This record gives sequence, C-alpha cells and structure tokens, in this order.
Amino acid sequence: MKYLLIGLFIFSSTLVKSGNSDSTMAQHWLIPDYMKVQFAGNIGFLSLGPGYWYAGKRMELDIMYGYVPKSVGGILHSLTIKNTGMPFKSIQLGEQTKLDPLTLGIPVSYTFGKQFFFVPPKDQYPSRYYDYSSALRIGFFAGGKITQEFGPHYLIREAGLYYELGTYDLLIHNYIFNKDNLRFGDLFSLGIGMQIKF
Amino acid sequence: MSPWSYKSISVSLAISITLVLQFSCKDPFQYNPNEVLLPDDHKNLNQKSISAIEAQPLKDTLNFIVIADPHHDYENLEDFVGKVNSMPDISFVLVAGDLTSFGLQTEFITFCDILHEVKVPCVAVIGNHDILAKGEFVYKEMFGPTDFSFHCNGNKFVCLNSNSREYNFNGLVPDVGWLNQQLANAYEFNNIFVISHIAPFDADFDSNLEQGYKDALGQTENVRMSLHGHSHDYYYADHYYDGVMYLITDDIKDRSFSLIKAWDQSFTTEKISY
Repeated sequence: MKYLLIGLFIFSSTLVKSGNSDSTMAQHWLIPDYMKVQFAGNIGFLSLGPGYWYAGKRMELDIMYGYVPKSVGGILHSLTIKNTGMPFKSIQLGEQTKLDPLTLGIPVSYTFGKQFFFVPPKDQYPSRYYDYSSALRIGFFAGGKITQEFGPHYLIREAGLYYELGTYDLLIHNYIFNKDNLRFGDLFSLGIGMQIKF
Repeated sequence: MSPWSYKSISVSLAISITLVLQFSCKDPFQYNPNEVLLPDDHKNLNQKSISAIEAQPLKDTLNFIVIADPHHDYENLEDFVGKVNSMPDISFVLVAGDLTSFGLQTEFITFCDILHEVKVPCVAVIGNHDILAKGEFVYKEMFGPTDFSFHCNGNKFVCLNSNSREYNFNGLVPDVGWLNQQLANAYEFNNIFVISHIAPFDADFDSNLEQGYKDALGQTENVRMSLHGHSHDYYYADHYYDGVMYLITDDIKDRSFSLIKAWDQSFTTEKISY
C-alpha cells in the first residue's frame, strides 16, 4: 500500500511537472529532450534511445541501443553515441512544419560480444599485431529531417522523420586503397528513423 | 502550406529517392558492420568448387595455382584474375588465407566477387584476419568447414585452419588428430599437398603442435608439400630435412603466385610474377 501511494505521488508529480514544464519550470538537464527510433544505418536492425539538444537545438546527442535479430544477420547488440549537427537554418515549410535539408553526424558504435575486442588482448597478441578495434566503429553520415510540431497539449509534442546515408572507418580505409576498384556509392547505406518529443 | 513548401518537399523527396535508387544493385540497408546474412549464391563455395574440380577429366599433369594474403588489395587481385585467365590448362586456384583485412562480410563478398571472374574453380583456406570479429562465422557460411580435403587427378589436398594465435594457442588449432586421419589413406594417392595459412615454424603457429604437424607430414609417404601464406614473403625449403617441401607464397601485393605441376609421383613449383 505504501509503495502504491509513493507510486501515485511520483506519477502525479510528473503530471504537475509536465503541465508546467513549458512555462515556469526549467527541465532538469538529465531528462532527455526526445527519443529516437531508427531502422538500419549500421547501428542495429532497430535502435532506440534518448537524446539531447544543445547549441540552440542545432546539435543533437543520442545514446542508442541497437539490436540485430538472428533472422537478419545477428544476434548483435550494440551501443551507439551519435552526434548530429544541422549546419543550415531550418526551412519553414508551414506554420508547424520545418525541414532540415542537411544533417551531418558521427556515430561511435560499440558492438558487444566475446569475438570483438576494444583493443587486441595483450596476453594474446604482440604489440601492434592488429592495429585497430574490432568492437568500436566510428562512422559518418549525411541526411535530412522533416519535423512536425503538434503543440504542448498533445501527448507527442513534436515528431521528426529523418534519413541518414552513412559509412564507417573500415569501409573508408579499404576504399582509400581501392579508389579505382570499389564504387564510392557502395560505401554508403541507408538508415531511417523517427525523433519524438513528448 | 504555400506552393513553395510543396516544391521544397518534393525536391528533398526526389533527392532522397535518387539516393535510394543509387543502391538498387545492393541492399540499401545495413544493420551492423558485423552482420552475417549471405545471399544463397555466396554460400558453401568451397564445396561447389570441389565438386567441379573432382569432375574434371584426368590429365597427364595437374597444374594448379596458389596465391596468398590478398587482404584488401583488390587492384592486384583483379590483375591476378586476368593473368590466370590468360594461362592455359590450369585446373584450379588455391587461396592460402587472409581473404580479408577485418573479417567483415562485405570484404568476403568483394573478394568472392573478384575471384568469381576466374574461369577455373577456386578454393579458399581461412587466414588469421578472416577470423577477426564474426569472420570465422562468415567464412563457414561462405566457404564451408575450415578443415576439409579433396582430390584431383590422383592427388590429395588437405586444407586446414592453422591460425593458432586467434584461439590463444588453446592446443586445438590446427587439429593434428584430424590431419592424421586425413593422411591415413595417403598410400591411395600419388601426391599429398597440405595447405594452411600459417606455416608450422611461424610464431603464430601453436609451438606445442609443431612437432605433431611436422611428424604427420614427414612420416607419411607421398606427402610432398606444405603450402602456406601469412609471412608476406617467399620461402621454399625442405625446412625439417624430412623430404617435405615447405612453400610460402608471397602476398598479392608482390604480384606473384606459385604454379605447381604434379604428375605421377613428382612435382615442380615455380614462382610466377605478373
């Protein structure tokens, strides 16, 4: 009973908080600004996680957990820290609709599993035997986003749809040595996702 | 919304669709660099090659080629393909490991698509780089077991995984017991060739298994050669003075390969540059 009351109290306090958040109370910096759900894009078949706006909403920092089920090439689990910037001013398409014609980002992704090493194990390999990390990938992408605002009285206040064309370090490495033999376009693959602000 | 807005949306949609169509020849969506999901025509390739090799008509002399360590050197690999296709009477190509640099599926596919242009069957042995990340899993999906054997023209070829360091020298790689089993019927063949990526006298080969490997070959009649790559250098010697020749083929970057001719109970080997 005690826990139920505590739960009710916390629940009601969030209602009060969310009711006031736009006007009087500044949101605690740890509370995420939005959630992202993404399909593909080298960070999981599906990936999901909270994110933060900074630099006047021109930059985004996401922390995303990604999963690849067995049926599509897994099982793989990964954690990605994704930094995205929008170098151009948003184009206002309507009163509540805006387009970010270009987004640029750097996802740093760690895939979990005993077959991957962050650095080659020292007890197994001489120094510099393998000069890279098989678990950690640094990527790069360019994309775009369209955002629709719904307003403070809706459960979803703002929703964005985005796409990203991305590649990563190892593909770039192999391409640099094979500019005549590999197709530049083959470096890139597509990711699409949704950004939701509650 | 103003007409201008619709225009802007259609322009950005058009750009996106163009970008997507760019990928029409391959899957535009990649889930993780380490995903393993091969199309059916990229599966079990060693067995397909072996079936083709074993169906070849008998010849007086068998000519086959060994290359090693192509890694991501696609330019020299493509030139090699051209060179092989210009040579008459080659029965097959053996790749002595390190088909990739990072063990990624995408690298395996690029390698395989280049070698697909070779007019004769190709058989690939696993190298240490091919074990990185999910590489061993990709190799097994794409080529089959890491230890296997086949025969051609009265010769037996025993191929195995000798990348001991990748398993932290656990005493199980290479599988010397399996090797001895494979050599048990050696007397039925004119010549036996054993192929693996890492030579037994290399620091990356399990030193506890070196003696077993060397004895298995040296004490079996008709074992002629032990073929390797890995050291990125050419080496050819009767390393243990037991009558078995150890041949290390240089990497693709050196633009050279080994041509081996086998007839009756004899053979020759030649380093060919291109």
